[in-house]
Amino acid sequence: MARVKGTQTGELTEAEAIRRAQRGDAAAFERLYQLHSRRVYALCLRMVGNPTEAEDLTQEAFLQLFRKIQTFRGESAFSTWLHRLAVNVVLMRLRRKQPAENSLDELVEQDDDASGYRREVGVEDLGLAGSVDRVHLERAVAQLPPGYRMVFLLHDVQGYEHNEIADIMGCSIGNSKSQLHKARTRLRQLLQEAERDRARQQRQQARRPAALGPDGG
Amino acid sequence: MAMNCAEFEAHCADWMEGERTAEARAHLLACARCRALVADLEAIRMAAPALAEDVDPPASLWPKIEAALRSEGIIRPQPRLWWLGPVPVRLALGTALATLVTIVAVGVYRRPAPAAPRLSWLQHDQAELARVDRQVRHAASETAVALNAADPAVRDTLVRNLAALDRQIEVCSRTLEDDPDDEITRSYLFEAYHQKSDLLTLMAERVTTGE
Amino acid sequence: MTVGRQTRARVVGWVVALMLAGALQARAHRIVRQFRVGSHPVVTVRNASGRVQVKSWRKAEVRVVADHRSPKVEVDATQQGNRIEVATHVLTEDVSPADVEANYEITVPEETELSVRNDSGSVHIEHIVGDLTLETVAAPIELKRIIGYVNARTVGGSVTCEECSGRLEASSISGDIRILRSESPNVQARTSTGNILLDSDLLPNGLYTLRNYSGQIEVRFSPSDSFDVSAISMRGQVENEAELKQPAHISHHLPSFARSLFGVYNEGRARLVLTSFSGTIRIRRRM
Repeated sequence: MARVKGTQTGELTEAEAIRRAQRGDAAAFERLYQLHSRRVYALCLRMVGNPTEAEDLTQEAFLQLFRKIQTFRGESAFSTWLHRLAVNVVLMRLRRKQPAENSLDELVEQDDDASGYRREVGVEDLGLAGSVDRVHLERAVAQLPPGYRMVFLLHDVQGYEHNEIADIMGCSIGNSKSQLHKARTRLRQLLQEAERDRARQQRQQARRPAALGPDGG
Repeated sequence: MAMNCAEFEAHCADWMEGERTAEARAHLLACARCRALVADLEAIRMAAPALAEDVDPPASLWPKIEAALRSEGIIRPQPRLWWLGPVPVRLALGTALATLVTIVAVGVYRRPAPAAPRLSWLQHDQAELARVDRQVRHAASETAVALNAADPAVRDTLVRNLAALDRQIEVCSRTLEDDPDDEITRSYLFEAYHQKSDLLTLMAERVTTGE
Repeated sequence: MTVGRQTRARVVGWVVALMLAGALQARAHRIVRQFRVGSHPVVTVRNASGRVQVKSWRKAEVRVVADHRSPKVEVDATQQGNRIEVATHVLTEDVSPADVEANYEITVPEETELSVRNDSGSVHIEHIVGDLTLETVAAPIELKRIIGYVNARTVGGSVTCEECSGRLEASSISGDIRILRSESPNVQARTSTGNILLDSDLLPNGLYTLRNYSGQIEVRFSPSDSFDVSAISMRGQVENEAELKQPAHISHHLPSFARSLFGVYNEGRARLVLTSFSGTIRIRRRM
């Protein structure tokens, strides 16, 4: 059933907005921006960490998208297409910051010991005991190599499926699955290390003399 | 042979994607360390959506984008309404096309709820598509006539390829009557409808602009 | 300047202008335009029928040379910021196909983003670093030495990519698609009745998805390649010359008459997904 076309920006469906944007309609572009800018900005922000750069990347992604809007024929979901552009924009920016030329694979660490099995002598393998604090997780995500971070954000945070991620990132589905697993095991490792650091600090605090207070005794 | 920790670790990625083999299950029952690994990975997966608070980009961002679009001429004054000329052909084709495109878009790209049986909605949309396709065929044949003034190479290509897609639709529809569970053939059927709606859009554009 | 010289200068100016106008009149059907551009310009071309050729140079300029026979058609190139729009406009309703034909030779900076629409004739683009979006109806598309994301769609025109790198997406209804001597990490080629040929490097972690309804699909490989292949033809044949190892488990529910092939060659680094409804799929060794 053909949808009713609203006269105000807020009533346009995505499909209708795309059609009108292909004809250069300003309100249609704004509608598409409204529908998708939060997700794209959130992704950029989590990837680069600072709002100014995230804003810059979001602008670049939307400009590239709108310049190419004529070519969209609905072969993949519009949001997938947009995310693909956004991911490329982000990864290219990160690549430029690396000292050497890097492919996506190299944005992931080479010596991949993200197995979660750190066999340090004499150290207990503290499991996370099944609970993950949101703030700690955010910090750990920020420490992931960009390639892992991107897949984790797209799959576990934003809810894309592996076949969509394969489309967005131009990799295979198998690749997406293995990168995701590596990202999660690396996160586990980072969370465990942070936990160990906190536990160590608490033990040091407890040993300080004359520290009267709730945590001193 | 019972699985050891190293082997479970190698299988862990698949386990997290839902592949549960008997050996892996047996190992987990016996091994606290691997159980802790799986529990932690699950916990990370469950905690992740909390990071998805959609943050609003700064309010100043859209005006910048809009300004750039205007200066590049991507935003432009709206062209005259394209339905000038023989109204019946274009309106009929336009309406039928819009319906076909919407149904194909919804049918192909909508994801069903995980628990719902996959086939019923696809079969429903297939029937809808066939009905709309009959309307489209009538309008399309009128459009083909109106294409007479166009470049013969272009006209012939469009008409020939439209016929090829119609054959594909016919063969796939018949195949599906014999085996409605055939997902691959169904994907070919939907693809043909999708390509056909694109092709008809191309044809309609060439009638109106005189290219 | 004295008054006399000013007057003379003005007269000379007018004479030159009139001469130029006369010259332009004689060459009314050819235009040459040149534009200064910034980095990564966007160039769009909209044509109905004719030859469209795009090449690159080192200058930060875009040069458009266009010619056409009939006065019923106008060729136009305009600049808006960093965007050059080239288009053929049909001026009257009664035009013959010969009237509409316009040919373009466009030279752009190496790093340019291109969008070309041309119904019939030909499209030929080489040496560009940038994203290309191309659409034709019957015109064949030939690309050479393109580094960037290529999206090419035709109805009946063939698409040939030679020595390209970067993601390639090509789709046609009846046109053939050929990817030759290229180095792309991601190729998606789709036709209905056209043939698809992939004779290029299969990069590690690359993904090559070739799909058609009834044409032929052929992939050529060398002994040094490494890939994992899934090939299914519902009604046609699958022919294979690679010694494959079977994967650990295959989960596919295919009808008994379908032909399929799943396996790993060497370490299985690249991924080939080949699907046809009634066409023949061939995996052939390069000699």
